[in-house]
Amino acid sequence: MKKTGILKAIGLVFLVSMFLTCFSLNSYAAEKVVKLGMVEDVTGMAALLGVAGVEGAKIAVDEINTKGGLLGRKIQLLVRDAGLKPDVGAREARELIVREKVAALLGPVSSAVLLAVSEVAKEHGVVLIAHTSNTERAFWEKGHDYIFSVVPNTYIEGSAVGEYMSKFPYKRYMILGPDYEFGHIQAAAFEKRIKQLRPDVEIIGKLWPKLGEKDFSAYITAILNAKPDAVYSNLWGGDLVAFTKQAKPYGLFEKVKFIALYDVDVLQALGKDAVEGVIGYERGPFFAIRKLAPSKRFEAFFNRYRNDTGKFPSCWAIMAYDAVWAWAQAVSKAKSFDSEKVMKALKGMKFDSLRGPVYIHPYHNQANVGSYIGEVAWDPNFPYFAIWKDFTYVPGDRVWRSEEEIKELRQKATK
Amino acid sequence: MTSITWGVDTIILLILSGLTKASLLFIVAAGLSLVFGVLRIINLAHGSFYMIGAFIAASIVTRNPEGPSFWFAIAIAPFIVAIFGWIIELAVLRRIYRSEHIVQLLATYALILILGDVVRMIWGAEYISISFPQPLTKPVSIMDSYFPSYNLFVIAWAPLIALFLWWFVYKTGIGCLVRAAVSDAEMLDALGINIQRIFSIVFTIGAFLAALGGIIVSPMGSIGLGMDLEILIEAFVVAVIGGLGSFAGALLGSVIIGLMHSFGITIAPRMAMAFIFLAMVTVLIIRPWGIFGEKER
Repeated sequence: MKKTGILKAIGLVFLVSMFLTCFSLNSYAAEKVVKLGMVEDVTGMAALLGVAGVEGAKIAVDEINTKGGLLGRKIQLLVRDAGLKPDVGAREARELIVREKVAALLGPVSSAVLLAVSEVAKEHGVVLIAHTSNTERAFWEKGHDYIFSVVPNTYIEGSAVGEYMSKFPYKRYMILGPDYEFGHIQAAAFEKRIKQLRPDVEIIGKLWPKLGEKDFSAYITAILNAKPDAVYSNLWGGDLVAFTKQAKPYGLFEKVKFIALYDVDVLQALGKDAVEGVIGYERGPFFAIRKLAPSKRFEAFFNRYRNDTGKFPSCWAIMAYDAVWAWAQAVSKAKSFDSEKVMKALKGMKFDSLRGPVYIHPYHNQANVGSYIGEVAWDPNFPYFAIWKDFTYVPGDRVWRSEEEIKELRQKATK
Repeated sequence: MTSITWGVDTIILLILSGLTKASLLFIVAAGLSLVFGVLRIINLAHGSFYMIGAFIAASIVTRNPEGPSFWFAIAIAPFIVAIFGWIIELAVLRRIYRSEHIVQLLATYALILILGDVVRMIWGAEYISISFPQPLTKPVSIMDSYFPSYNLFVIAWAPLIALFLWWFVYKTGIGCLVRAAVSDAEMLDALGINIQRIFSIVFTIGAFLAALGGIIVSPMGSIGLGMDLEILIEAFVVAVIGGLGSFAGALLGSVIIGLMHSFGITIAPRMAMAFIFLAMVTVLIIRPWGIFGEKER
């Protein structure tokens, strides 16, 4: 009995102290702060992307705050975890809007969570900027005035790779992608574009391993058996690392041209197991940005990120950073935190992203950010992991859907 | 949709890739099944031990990637996780043997979340990748095709472990008590046998097997958060098809799933996953206690 009494007392003290810290934080917050909400997926298998996004956003917020803040107010970044679950994402977004009164939201990692959060943003009329999740459905048929994107969406990404690959002589393609929204919808964009430009191209098979598959031997055997000229894949992250390592001893990469999301994270994880000659695409590899759109600002960001985290910035960090700055610039332009005014300011706005100057389309709110594509190769400057050579950039506005097409899609969706 | 050429080497490759998956599944499912058979607890945290095993192996290997550190990891990491599993049994499981099933599920589910966060705090969210160990880096050639020699090494583990478990359960004194505990734990308790100790041993072996599975898979794939839940679901399907609590069942279940998976993907890629769950449903309808399982008394 006595023991539980002591435990209870300790518990009470703990609770009270927690309340007190909350109150003190709140009273500080009430002064001159504007809150920016971030619904991220920082646990589960996409945690690496979410954590990098939070780091990138933090750097942007800190830069703005050291320069004196926005309209005289400091930005406070509130991060909530959605854990890849759409219902959790929607709930956290609602709470950030209703209870924390955030001025705007930054988007999640998962496309499924994005669709859910987007509904909440639309309902409350709060600006939401997506920087990692990129299903085109969120911006085309399910798009609305309040959702913005600084990440190339699946349509841009799939079409850009389709356009790039159309220059090669390959005719028989296979598709290998993760079995969920992102995998299917991006592969469809690739298929549409490459067939448009090259009517002789044939898709001879599609394979959809589940997200998080560990053993790809059955898929590798199926590809070798079908003998395609090339494989378009949108496997990403750990799945792509696993596939690459397992396919290598089968000699798959000598027999088949392989195209996949070989981004900075994957190449670092692969280390010396990387395969030269495969084609990679992604949304912001630092080595390509430094060559194609060099800027002092990018170098400053790069060094700061290396300093703060000890890591190379991935595109996830770069795009989250861009999202914060896009919002901040719109606030300065609107001279207000009011969501309606900021939304109007964002539409058609030009801004300097870390990837170079871009603009946001006034109708569908997608920034004309594009896809980086190149060939995986070793570089003497990076002894520990492979990077790319011969890279190109396909800007978003060259391959995205026209305004008429999107209007049609939206009309169909409302019917 | 895809035209399939059924050469002999294609069939051999498909069988071998099916067996690779089967072996990995068996190692994990055997532990899950063993724990359920004796403790009557569905240990949802089984996948967490698998993940922790993989991360510990990765830490050992990345420290010295050139030497024989993978073999060192495979020799010690399962024991580290086994000790950890033993502590978990003492601290958590022991308190809930007599609770209702829902309490047990909630407690082991809580362990998944807690251990997942602990792993993230220690190792971070990066994908970690370790190379195939020497001398298993080169493929072996099978007629006109290649097959990774590491996969053959993976396949070899399942019979080894099956043999070990058979020996443990049928040929040792503790194994005899384990079998007695499976058939009637209360009676055993009444006979003055320290049943808690048997539960501890069995749970520790379960954690050991899970970790071993995680270490064996680690050079093939990437090591990252989320691998705990991914393996848990598949191992669970295997254990249910074979019959929870039966090794022979886990072995048969994993071979069925492994082969269905590899042939299914080549023949009808869109249906491969559906086939697996269809198999589970069929077994559950015809024999709800699994192929080799025994009816709950």
